[in-house]
Amino acid sequence: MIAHASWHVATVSATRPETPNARRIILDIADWPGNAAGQHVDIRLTGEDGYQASRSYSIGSSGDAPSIELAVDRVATGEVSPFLVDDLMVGDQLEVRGPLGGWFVWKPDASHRPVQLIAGGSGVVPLAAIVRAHRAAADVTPIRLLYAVRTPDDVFFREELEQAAGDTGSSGVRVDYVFSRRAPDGASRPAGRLTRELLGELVLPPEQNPLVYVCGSTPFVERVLGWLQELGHEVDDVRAERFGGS
Amino acid sequence: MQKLDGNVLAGPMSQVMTGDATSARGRCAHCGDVAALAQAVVYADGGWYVARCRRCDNVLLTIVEADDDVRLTMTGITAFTMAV
Repeated sequence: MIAHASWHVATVSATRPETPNARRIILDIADWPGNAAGQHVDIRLTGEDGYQASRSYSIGSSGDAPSIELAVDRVATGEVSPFLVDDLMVGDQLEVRGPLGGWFVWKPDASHRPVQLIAGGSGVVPLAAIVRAHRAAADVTPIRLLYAVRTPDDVFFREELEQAAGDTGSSGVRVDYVFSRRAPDGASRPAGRLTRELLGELVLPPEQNPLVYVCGSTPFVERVLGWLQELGHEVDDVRAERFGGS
Repeated sequence: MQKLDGNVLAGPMSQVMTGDATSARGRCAHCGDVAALAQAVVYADGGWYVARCRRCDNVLLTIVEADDDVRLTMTGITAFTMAV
C-alpha cells in the first residue's frame, strides 16, 4: 500500500557534492510515512514576494525512515534546481509533498520477474532507489541497469551502484555504463551515444519477460521507448518517467 | 511548457483524491485506449497540467493548482478505476 501524500516540512540534515554539477540532499521529515523505491516528491519554494515554484524530484532512497535522499542536478536555466544545488544550507526548511506516485515503483515480490532499468543522466535517481531496495532486501530478482551518462565524473550514486554490482550470487545487479562524451581509461567501449544496437545488446531481451523502467529527460525516454518497441518489448511492460529542465 | 508524463500528476491529484491516481486506469473517451494515468502525455506549465491520451492525443483531463485552489476537469477519461 502506498502511503497517502500530503505536505510536510522537511529540514535539510546534510548535503554533499554528488557530481561537479549535482548535490546529494538529505531531508529529515518528522512525520514522513516512509516511501517505496521509485517514488518522488514535489518541492515548493516560496519567494519573499509570495511567488511560488514547485518541481518534482525523485527520491534516491526508500523505506520507513523519517528521512529521504535526493540527488539534484543543476539546470542552469531552471527556477528551482540552482537554489537546491548552490544555496540550500543544512538546517534550512523546505515544503515537501509526498510520497508521490504508485506506477513508477518497484517492490520485491514472490514472482521475481526480471527487471531492466534504463537511466539517462540524473534519471538514475529513482532507479538507484530500486537497486538499493533490492540490495537491502537481499532480493534475488534479476536486475540489470543500463546507465547512459556523459562522463565518469557525472555518475550519480557511484558508491551504491558499485556495491550492488560487486555483490556476487543471485542478489547481484549488473550495471552497464554507456558514456556519451568520455569513457574511463581502459573502457571496453569508446565514448559514444546510446544507440538501438547497444540497447539491444545491454538490456534483457523480451523473451525473458522483463519489467522495464526508463527514466531520463523527455527526449531520452522517447528515443528509448521507440527502440524498445522495435526490439519487441510490449508497451505495457515498460514504465517510463520523463523529466524536463527545472 | 514542458512535455512530461502522467507521473507528474501524482502531487496535484493527491489534493483531490485519496490514494495514488497515477496508477489508476482509465479509458480514453475518444479512442478507447485503456492505460494508467501515469502513461498519459502531460504538458506542464507552472501549476497547470494538461493530460492527453498517449494514443490519440485527446485531452483526458486538466488540473490546475493555483493559490489555495486545485481545479480538476475530467472531460476525456471514462471508467477511471483506482485500487482501494
